[in-house]
Amino acid sequence: MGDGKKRILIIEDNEILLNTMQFVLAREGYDLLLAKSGKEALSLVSDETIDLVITDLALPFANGYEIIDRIRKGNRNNQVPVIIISGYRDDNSIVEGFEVGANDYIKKPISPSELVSRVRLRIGHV
Amino acid sequence: MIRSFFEGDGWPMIVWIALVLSFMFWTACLIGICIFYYRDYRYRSHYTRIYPVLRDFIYEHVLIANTFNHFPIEKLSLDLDKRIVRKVVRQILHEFIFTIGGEKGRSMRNLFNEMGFDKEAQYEIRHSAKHVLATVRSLSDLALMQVNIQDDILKQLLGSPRVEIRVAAYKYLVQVEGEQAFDRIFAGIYGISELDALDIYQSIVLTDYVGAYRFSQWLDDSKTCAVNSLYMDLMVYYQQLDEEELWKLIMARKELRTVQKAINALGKLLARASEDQLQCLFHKEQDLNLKIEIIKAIGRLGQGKSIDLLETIFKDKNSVLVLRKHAYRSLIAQKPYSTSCLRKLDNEVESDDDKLIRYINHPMVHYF
Repeated sequence: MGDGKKRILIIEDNEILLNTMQFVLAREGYDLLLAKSGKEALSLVSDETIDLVITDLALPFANGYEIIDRIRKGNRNNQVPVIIISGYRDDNSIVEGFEVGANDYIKKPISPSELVSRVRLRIGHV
Repeated sequence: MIRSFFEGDGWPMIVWIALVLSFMFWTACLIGICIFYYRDYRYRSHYTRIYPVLRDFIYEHVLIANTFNHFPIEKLSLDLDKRIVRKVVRQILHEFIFTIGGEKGRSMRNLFNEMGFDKEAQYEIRHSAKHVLATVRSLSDLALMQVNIQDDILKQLLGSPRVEIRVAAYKYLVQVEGEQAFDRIFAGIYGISELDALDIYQSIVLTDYVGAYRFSQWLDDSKTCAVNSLYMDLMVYYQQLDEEELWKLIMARKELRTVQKAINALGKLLARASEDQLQCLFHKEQDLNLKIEIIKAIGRLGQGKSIDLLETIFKDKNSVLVLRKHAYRSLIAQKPYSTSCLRKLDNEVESDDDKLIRYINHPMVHYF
């Protein structure tokens, strides 16, 4: 964080998507933290300072909604912007995401350029 | 003769035969398990070797260099003539195609084609009579790549005697042509099971289609329950109420399950104008399942018009317990119109009915 890089936490259990997002965002110069489960994500949220969270909804141990809810109710990082990335395309899932405190929703499959634009919109360029 | 057989060398012979058969059985089981684990190991070892190579190739050419087509596949140095290699590459590319969308997704599809998987899939669908599974897989590949199939071949697949191939062809049409294909699919759909109907339904609702098409025009009492269920599920999903068509199905009474589904759809689509007709039907109806479905539908409508009917059913001790249970549930669904009635019932009921009410309110608690 000392070099002024923005730090993004990516929570995704699909290895291919996680690696792709890591590759795309690392190229843009962001500092990345990766978590493959809700449990890992929540421990990172409580220990680290984060500028943006990108989360899937269907995750082991705690789903995306629970993670966002815990982030918003926690003492640290409770104002951090959250982007949901999910394969759920129905209105209820999207609305529920915004109701628990997400700032954006991207449907899978993701377009890498769209992901970068939305991240820039939330936390700006590096 | 049988007696002499058992008194002579008969028993030892039977024991030997049993031992030999048992040995052969366990050997066959062990060989089967070994083959399974060997194939799994072989797949995994190929996957571990190919995945990093293919991933780096995709990152380099699709994500960085923005290559749209003419990929330098020879640089991959993969032996695509080997069946196992093709299988692994196909699997990895599928995963990437499901993950990456937008223009990069189209580039991924082009890469898939340039590796020859489109030709393989086109070849497989031309030989559909021989290989059902290969045809189904190829159709799903072609749908994923959004590749158009020649119309005469598509016609042949849609008219295939194998239901699996027809369903795969319907799903292909939905994925590639979207709403444009609805007329063609629904006009020719036949002989599918309820599971197939669910499969097609899932393919439709997973597209970006928003639902202006009139699905109810295809409802027909001469069609099977599975086909009509598909239309009714789509009507419910896209909230398209067509009471007239649903009542035609109910009154035709060809198949009880279709009638049940139509009543269910009336309830889920909140067909408020149908409540009186549903009440009449309840009084005429003899089938218990249909009676339950009517009560559930009335509960969903929640207009408070049928409180007396529901109260009478619940109070009728001669009535079937499951019917009384659903009547009480529907009364709860009629709130706030039914609040005073429910309060009255709660105060009046005897101990047995009290148990029933408590069970309805808290179904996970076991009452003694």
